[in-house]
Amino acid sequence: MERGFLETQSERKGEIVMTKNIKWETEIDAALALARVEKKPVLLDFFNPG
Amino acid sequence: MDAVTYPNDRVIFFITENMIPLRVAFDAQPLSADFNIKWTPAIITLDPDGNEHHRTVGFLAPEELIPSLLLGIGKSYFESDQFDTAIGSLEKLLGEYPESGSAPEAIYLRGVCRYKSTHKPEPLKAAYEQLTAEYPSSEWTKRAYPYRLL
Repeated sequence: MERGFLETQSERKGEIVMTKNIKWETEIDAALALARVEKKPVLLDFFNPG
Repeated sequence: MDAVTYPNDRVIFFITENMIPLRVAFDAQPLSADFNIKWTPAIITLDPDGNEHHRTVGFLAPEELIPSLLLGIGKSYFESDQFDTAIGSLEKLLGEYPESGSAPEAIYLRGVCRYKSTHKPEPLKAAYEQLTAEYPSSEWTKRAYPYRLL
């Protein structure tokens, strides 16, 4: 699986539908470590899980 | 964001290719206090050292989120004196999302980056002229107003 994508399956009228979602990090230290390795900035989203 | 923007294919591709996505509940401590979170969604661009460079609060549609993130990436490079790399992000924003709310600030910042890398004032005046012509009511046009005299 490609890093960053999270593949999920759902059934719709008997067919399997593949969808891709963002694979979120949940710990800032891990995200910053990845950012240093991949030389990318971090998108930090504070959200309300309801 | 979960219903419209984050499931969007272009958003998924952009974020996966260009950023490390990190999601935290608004009340998770100590991060919430560290970043002074008062409302959600709060979307922040950090460099790999954890320094904040750009923030938006409130819903953004896909056609606004991607340019906002490009602006954040551009600001991250600008603030680390990587002007040419910053210009690359801003050019991509302006080329692909000229109608977005982030475009006027991108024109302004691109002008500043060009000035900082060349030490010539012409890019600042060019930014003012483009802002005046294309985004006359933008706050960034007002901020560029002094550059008309250069």
